[in-house]
Amino acid sequence: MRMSSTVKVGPEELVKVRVKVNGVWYERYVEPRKLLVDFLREDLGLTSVHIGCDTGHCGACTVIMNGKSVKSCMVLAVQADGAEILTLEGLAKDGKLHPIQEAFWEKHALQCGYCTSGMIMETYYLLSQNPNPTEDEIRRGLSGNLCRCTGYQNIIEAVKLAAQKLRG
Amino acid sequence: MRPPKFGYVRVSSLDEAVKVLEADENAKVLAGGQSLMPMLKLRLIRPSYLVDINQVPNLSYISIEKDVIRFGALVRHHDVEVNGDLWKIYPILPETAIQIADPQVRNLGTMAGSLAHADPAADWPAALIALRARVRVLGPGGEREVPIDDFIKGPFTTDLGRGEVIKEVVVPRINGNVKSSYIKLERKAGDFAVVGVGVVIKLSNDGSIEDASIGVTAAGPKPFRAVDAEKALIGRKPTDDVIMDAAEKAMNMASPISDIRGSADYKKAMVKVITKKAIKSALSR
Ligand SMILES: Cc1cc2nc3c(=O)[nH]c(=O)nc-3n(C[C@H](O)[C@H](O)[C@H](O)COP(=O)(O)OP(=O)(O)OC[C@H]3O[C@@H](n4cnc5c(N)ncnc54)[C@H](O)[C@@H]3O)c2cc1C
Ligand code: FES
Ligand code: FES
Repeated sequence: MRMSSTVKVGPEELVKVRVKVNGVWYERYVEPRKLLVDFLREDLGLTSVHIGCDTGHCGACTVIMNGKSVKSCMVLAVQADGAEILTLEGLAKDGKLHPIQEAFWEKHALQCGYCTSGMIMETYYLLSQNPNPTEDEIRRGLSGNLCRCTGYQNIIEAVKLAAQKLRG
Repeated sequence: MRPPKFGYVRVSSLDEAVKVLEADENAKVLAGGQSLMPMLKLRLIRPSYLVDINQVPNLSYISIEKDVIRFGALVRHHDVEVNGDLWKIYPILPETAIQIADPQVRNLGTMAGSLAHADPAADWPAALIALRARVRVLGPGGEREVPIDDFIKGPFTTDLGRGEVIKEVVVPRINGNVKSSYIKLERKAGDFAVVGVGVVIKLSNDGSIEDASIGVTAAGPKPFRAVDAEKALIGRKPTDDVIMDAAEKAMNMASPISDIRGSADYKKAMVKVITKKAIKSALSR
């Protein structure tokens, strides 16, 4: 849903943002400088979206925007106007975990869990592009997501299992 | 870290962007934002307005024509990475894209934004120098084309004047037996280059090198064309000695600085190693 009308607001003004997050349309007024990660956390209460570094390096803030994974600390909320966004909160259906979530659980792919929502969202994107990735493709696919606890091996295993589950 | 306050303009055409930028010297284009956000958060820049071009229609084209390939201002790194035709025509292009940052950054960051940002360690400039690309600029006075070699002036400095934007990047096509590659030395996946080298070689029927073009990044205040290395290749058969000689000449043109990615001496030595690898990688195709 692209809109091509011009918008202009000054630094002290608020700008209207309409986004569809996890299937629901929201309309909010934000400062132009507001980051998407802060919008999702503070304005919409979606606290699965973590801030690990705030410099674009760790991937903890990864969400899906119009089908592509992005680091929400590197995107302005106004840039998401008209977009469809998916966060971890949108994955589980009717109290049942998403197959990727199940796979992370079964393979013990987390310790502290701080990186996990970002890892899962990037896995979601990776598997949407490549349903049957090799181990090398998984490693490359998750190269923008850092984990300080697990040593990554179980995460890789979880992605393999998730791919298997999703292929059915 | 939060960006400083700025105003926001969302334009629906590049002409409109030019008008805003011409009227306000402190306004800045917002493309993928993958270089702008860190700059804003660190408060290295304080623009009056961000001029968002992301909703401008028809700017994401990769148009493969008979003589040129055109990349619209909103072509993301990812778009290049997954373009099957480019893998066949100029593998150097997707090969460069895939080595930039990580999947998330590549989903938003643009080729044009990377050139306009002119980070001395950016990857695109080396590949685009090797491809003898031109930057098509739109400004208050109309359009003009600048060879990539002249477009990047120095660290974070380009030829763009007041009110000017990059409209597209134009890569000329070469007929014949053309081979290309980009090799990047990095400390870890997704990091900026320690050194990066792009090579395009045209072979003649007898197997000698008819033409060669080499771009080097992260080894000086700006990406440069390794002219001496090109000369060392042209007209010769690509033997190991000839390749070593060219690589050495590329090294002698480099003037890197010491930083967290290595000492100046180390990086200089790596220009030789990576140039050799890039030539061999191109020839192996
Ligand atoms: C974690 C991380 C790792 C990275 N690693 C690498 C790497 O390994 N190699 C690499 O090369 N890059 C790397 N980058 C930078 C990335 O490639 C950026 O996408 C790119 O440098 C800028 O593109 P952008 O579209 O995001 O531009 P923006 O951030 O939107 O803009 C950058 C600058 O260009 C200007 N600009 C943008 N588009 C235009 C236009 N059409 N006309 C005029 N001016 C324009 C803007 O005003 C701004 O000054 C990395 C970035 C991050 C966050
Ligand atoms: S918080 Fe966004 S990448 Fe680390
Ligand atoms: S589980 Fe702790 S950072 Fe990944």
